[in-house]
Amino acid sequence: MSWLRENRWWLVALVVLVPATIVAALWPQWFDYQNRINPPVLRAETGELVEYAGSQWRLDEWKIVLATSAEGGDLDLPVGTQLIAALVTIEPGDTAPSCTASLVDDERDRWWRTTIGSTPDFPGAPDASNYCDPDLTDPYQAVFTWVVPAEVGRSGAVELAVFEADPLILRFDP
Amino acid sequence: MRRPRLRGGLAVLAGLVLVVAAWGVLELAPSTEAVQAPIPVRVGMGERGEGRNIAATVLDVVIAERLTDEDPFDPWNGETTGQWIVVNATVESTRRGGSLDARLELGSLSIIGSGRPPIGTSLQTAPLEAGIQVTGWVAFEVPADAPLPSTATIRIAEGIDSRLDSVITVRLDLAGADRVGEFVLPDTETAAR
Repeated sequence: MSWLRENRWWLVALVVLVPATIVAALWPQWFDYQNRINPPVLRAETGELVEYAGSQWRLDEWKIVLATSAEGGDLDLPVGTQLIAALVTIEPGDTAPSCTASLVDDERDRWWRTTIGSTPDFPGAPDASNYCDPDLTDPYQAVFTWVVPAEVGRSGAVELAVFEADPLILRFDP
Repeated sequence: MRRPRLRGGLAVLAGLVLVVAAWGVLELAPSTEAVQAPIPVRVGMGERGEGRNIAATVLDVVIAERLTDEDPFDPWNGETTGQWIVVNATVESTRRGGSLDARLELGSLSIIGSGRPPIGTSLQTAPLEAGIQVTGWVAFEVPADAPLPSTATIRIAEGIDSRLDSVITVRLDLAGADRVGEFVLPDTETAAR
């Protein structure tokens, strides 16, 4: 008992400092992990300019093409699917961004990658890129397209991820 | 005079017990490989197996001497010195898009789905997207000197790194499988579920 009494403050320090060290060491990683699996959501109106990763982003127009429509037939969409396309204006900041744009459903448990090769026409933007072009330093437009099950309907949001920045969900209501 | 010696002896004994206990814990602790092993979802032929990130139904298995495709002008010549085991399945990603990784456990061999068939005819090279099913065949090239057991196991995962993630596992009856000289690989078909 006397040993415990003599060393009680050291023992108290041990009990406090060991968990504190573990928390301090793991906290930044845990925070990064949470940020990656659960990115912050920025709600934006169509046509509204938002800032992310040092550049400005604006959703100009949405387009939804059902597989059962004539245009869906032309694009050879699989049965039961629809194509969602977003025309986005990117105004690069100091560094032109490289990005990925995924479509994420409302429950945030399904993601779709952009599809290359099935791009519907946006009459106002005939020269739009279909990816984030890191060589373009002037403002430009890009069309991102996703082929998703028809049940996704008109819901969903765009998750932008610029290399070297935490991802951001831009919730546009189509 | 005897008590300090006794205490010293007890301390040495306790130290030895702790060292042995530490060795025991080390021996009993699972290896990193075991801790990070994929999580198998075992189903039978024709049953849908659904894991965290992938779902698959294995429909058929055929053993063939050579493969070809449906291209009428320049058909693919899938010659092999061994034989092909081709497996028909419907696969879909349930969360994020990715690619398929199918492996055949054949006795002590683990054979990865062949990348030789032309793009568009093999599940192994078909892109997977959430909620969109791809149906087709995946071909495994079996070396000539490999004995063919009566059963094999196919393991279907999303991506080559399936650590701590789902692997749909189905036992295949090779003894009862159709054997053909030539098998024509149809194009994969894609449709939402």
